[in-house]
Amino acid sequence: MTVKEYNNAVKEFGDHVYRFIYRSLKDSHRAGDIVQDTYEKLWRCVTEVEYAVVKSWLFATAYNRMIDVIRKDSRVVGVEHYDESALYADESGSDLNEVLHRALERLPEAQRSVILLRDYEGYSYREIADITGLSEAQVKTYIFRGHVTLRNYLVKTSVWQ
Amino acid sequence: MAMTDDGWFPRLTPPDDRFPGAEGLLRKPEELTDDQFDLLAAARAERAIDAYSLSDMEAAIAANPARLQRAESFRSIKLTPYDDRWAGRDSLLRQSPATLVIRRYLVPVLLSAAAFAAVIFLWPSTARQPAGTLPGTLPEVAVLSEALIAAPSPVIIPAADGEATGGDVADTNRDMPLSLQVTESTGAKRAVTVAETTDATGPLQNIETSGVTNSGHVIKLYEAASSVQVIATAEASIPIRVTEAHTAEPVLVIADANNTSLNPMTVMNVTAPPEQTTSSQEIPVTVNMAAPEQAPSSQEIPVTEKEANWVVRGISALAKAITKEEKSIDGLVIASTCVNSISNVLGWEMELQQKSNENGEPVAVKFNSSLISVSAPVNKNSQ
Repeated sequence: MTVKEYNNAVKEFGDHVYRFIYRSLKDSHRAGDIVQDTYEKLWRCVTEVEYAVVKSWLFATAYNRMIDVIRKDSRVVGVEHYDESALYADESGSDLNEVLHRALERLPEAQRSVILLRDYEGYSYREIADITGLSEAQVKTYIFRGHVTLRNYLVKTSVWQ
Repeated sequence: MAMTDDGWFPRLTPPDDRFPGAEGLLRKPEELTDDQFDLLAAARAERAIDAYSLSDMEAAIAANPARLQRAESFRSIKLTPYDDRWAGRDSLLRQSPATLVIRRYLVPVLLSAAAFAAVIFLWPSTARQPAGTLPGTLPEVAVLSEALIAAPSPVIIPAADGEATGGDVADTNRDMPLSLQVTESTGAKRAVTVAETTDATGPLQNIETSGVTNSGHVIKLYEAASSVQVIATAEASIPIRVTEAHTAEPVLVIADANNTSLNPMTVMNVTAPPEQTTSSQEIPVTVNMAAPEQAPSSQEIPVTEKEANWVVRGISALAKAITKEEKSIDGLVIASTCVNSISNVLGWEMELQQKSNENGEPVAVKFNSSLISVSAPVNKNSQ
């Protein structure tokens, strides 16, 4: 990858990677740091990464970095610790997209990430599996379960009567 | 349990046992729970459902038509991305090596040089002072008259009309000190020139001494080739008169400076005092500068502060027209503003500092940046 292609990767995918990390963490400073680290890592191996796969490389690197940060901060909320009782609040009258994003914040990290990659970036299950290191079946399961949880949130918060 | 007949590899064969309640475990699509149905519906909304699961789902919907609405609700569950922008994106853009060299080294050096040059060219106007109030400075005045006196004859310019005279020394011999004293008609005496010594054996060279009187008169005396030239200048509004001059070959010098243009002096040969013609020693030279009676005294002369540099004058006028306020704009202000602007825009750490002496007069300007640091004295011309 050339310097020009690197700069294109910054301009074209920088906001996307940031958005993915920011929506996962809900912390703009941490998201900025992670994206910065990701591009620093890309710059160090700029000659080894092909431009055709740089987007997936960026998302995978940023995702792994985010997992490291979350683990370091002991903020991982596993499925086994999932507190469904804290999920619901009265959201009647709110914008559907806003409610969905609020519900998204309460999903387990793995489900949230795959849903963001799927809905935001339009990645296929195979690509999401490559980025997150999960199997394709796991990705499907996380997405379907996540959507079911989001749907239940909408129903229980009176958004859908 | 039977055993195969193969003696070499005997194996157990399963008996024909049957689970009696197997049919009771069979399920129909209608028996899918809501959670199971939701997972199928989510897969269907994602277009990721296989044909067998889809048929099961359709069967479940056929059995319970209310589930159709439930299944359709999953189609609207899709996140729409917000327009989140990363503020630090541009900071990660990289430059090619050539661009990097130009931006990191060449441009700062050129801008620094430009800023420094601006300071050097504009600075003299920053220390402007009214004419006659700053000792040692030469105001811009028109040359009104001059006299050429042949060398190596000593020059004697005695006092005229009983006015006060000085006793300082001048000598046209090139190995003697050369000096000039100016006595003003107001009676105030002040030596304004310095002694210069010529090289007796070396090539002839110009020796220039100059000074300014309290009333703004400028006297220049220098030796050029084989002659000594006395130049008396003053502002156009301040007429001066050089009344008399005696030399070994006596010369009477009369200069009337009522006109602003350069006037040739009237030079008359007069008899020189014999005792002063043989000297190879110090020869006194006295120039009396008698202002006409109608001329105002030095205290009465209105002094207007006028900026010499037309660029600064223009900028000051513009600033005054825009802000309606009288602002003191000089070279340092302009250059410092330029440097600060460049520093702010490009993020370079540059600053321009003025150094002053104990009296608060600017003596030097210093430019600091991450690359270079330059200091230069100011007001060279006036010191």
